[in-house]
Amino acid sequence: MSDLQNELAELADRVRPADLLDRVYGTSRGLRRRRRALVGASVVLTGALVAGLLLPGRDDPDPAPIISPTATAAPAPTPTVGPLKARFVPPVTVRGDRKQLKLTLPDGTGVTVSYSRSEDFERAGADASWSFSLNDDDPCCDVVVRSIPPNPRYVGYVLDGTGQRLDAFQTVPMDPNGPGGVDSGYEETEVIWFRYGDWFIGDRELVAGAVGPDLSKYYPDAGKFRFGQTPDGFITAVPASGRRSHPSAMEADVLTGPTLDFWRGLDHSVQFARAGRCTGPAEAPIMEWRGRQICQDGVIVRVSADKSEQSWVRDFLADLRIDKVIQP
Amino acid sequence: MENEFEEFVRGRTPALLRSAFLLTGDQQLAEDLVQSALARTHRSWHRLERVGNAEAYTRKTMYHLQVGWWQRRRFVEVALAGADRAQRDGSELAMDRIDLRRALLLLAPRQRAVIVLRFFEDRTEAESARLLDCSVGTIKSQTAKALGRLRQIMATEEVIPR
Repeated sequence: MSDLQNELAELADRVRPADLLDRVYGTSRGLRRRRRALVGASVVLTGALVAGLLLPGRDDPDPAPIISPTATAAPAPTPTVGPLKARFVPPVTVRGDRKQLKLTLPDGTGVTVSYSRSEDFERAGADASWSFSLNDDDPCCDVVVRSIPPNPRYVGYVLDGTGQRLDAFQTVPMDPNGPGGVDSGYEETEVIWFRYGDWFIGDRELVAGAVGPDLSKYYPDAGKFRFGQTPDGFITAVPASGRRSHPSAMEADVLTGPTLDFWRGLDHSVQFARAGRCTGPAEAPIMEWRGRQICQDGVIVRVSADKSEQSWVRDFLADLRIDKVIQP
Repeated sequence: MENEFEEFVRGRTPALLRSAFLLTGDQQLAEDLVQSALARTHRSWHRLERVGNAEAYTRKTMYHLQVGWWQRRRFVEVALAGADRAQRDGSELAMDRIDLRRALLLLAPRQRAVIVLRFFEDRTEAESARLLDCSVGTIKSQTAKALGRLRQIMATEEVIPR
C-alpha cells in the first residue's frame, strides 16, 4: 500500500508550479456570461409559458423590455413586469442567398458581416446575451443582458459619466440546483443590475449598507461610462472623459474587452470583438469547448461549440464575410 | 472579498495541481482543471467563505469536472500522447513513474479519481464518497476494480497493494 502511495507522491512531484489567478478570474467571467445566457433563456421560456405567449417570430420587431419600474424617485416595492420578450434579435437584410447583419460592438465599432441565408445564428435560439468590459484594470459590466433573474426589486439608481440616471434592481440568489448545477457557475449571492434602455448591466454584488435612492457612491462603475443605445437596439458604453477603452484581449481562454456575444445554450457561442492586432485563423478553445477564430480589419469573430458541432464551426467561419468595419 | 480569494488561490493551487496532475497526466491539462475548479469556487465565494468549506467545494468540483471532461474524451488523446512522449525520453526510474502515469490514464475516470482520493490524498472511504457523490459501497467496489486494472496494465505487482 505504501509503495503505491509513494509512487503517486513521486509522480505528483513532477507537476510544475503555476500562478493561475488571472486565468481563474478570466474563466470566472466566462462562466458568468454563460450562466446569464442560460438564465435569460430560462426566464424567457418560463415567462412565455406562463403568459401563454409564443416566442418572437422572425419578423418580430425589437422586443419590449422585460421590466418597467413603477417609480424612479423612491424604491418601488412592486415593479411592473411587461411583455416577456426578453431576447434581442438584431435586424438582418436578406440579399439573394446571403444575409447581411449590421452590428454595433459595445465600444461603438460598427461591423457588417454577411453569411448564408440558411444560417440563423443571429437568432441564437432564445438566449442571446451581450457582455463587455472596459479593460483589465478597470473592469465593468462583464454581463449586459436583456433579461435578469425573476422577481427583481427596484432599489434606487446610479448616475453614469454624463449624469444619465440608470435604475437599479436587486435580484434574489439563484437556485444552486438550477440549470447546469455545479458546472454552470451559479451564484448564490444577491446582485444589483443597472438598467439602461432595454438592457441590464450587472451583475454587481450587493454592497452591505447601501442606502438609496442615489446609489452611485456604492456602485461607481456606471460613472465611468457614457451609455447609449443605437436605433437598432445595440447598447454602447464609451468611457467617460479622461478614460480610454482598450481593445479586446485573451485572458486565459476568455475574451475580455468590448465583445458582443451570441449564446445558444452553454456550449455554443459566436463572439465579435475589436482586436488590438489581427493574426491568422486559429484554434480558439473557450474553457472546455472547442472553437476557431478569424480576424480581419481589427475585428475578431470567435466561434465555439461542443465537439459534436465542430463541422458547423468550420463551415460557418468559412462562409462568413466581414464586409465592413467602422471604427468608433 | 477578493483578497481572501486570492490568498486562497495562491495557497491551495500547489496542492490542487498535484492531485490534478494525477487525474490528467499532463501539466497543461492539470492547470486547466484547477483553473476551472477555482473559477467555479470564485463564483460561489461569498457562500463558501461564510461556511468555511471552499477547499472541499473546490476539490469536489475538480473531481466532478475531471470525470465529465474525460467522458467527453477531450483530454484522452492529449494526455496519452504526452505520456508516450515522456516514455520515449525517460530513464529507467522515470519509466516506472510514467508506467504508473499511463496506467492511471487508462483507468475509467471515476476509478482514477478513487485511486487519487484514497491513496494519494489519503481520504477515507466516507470522505471519498462525499466528494464523488456516491455511496461508500461504490467507493469500495471502484477501488477494487481500479487496483485490479492497474495490476493488469502495469503487469507488475511491485507497487500495487493486494
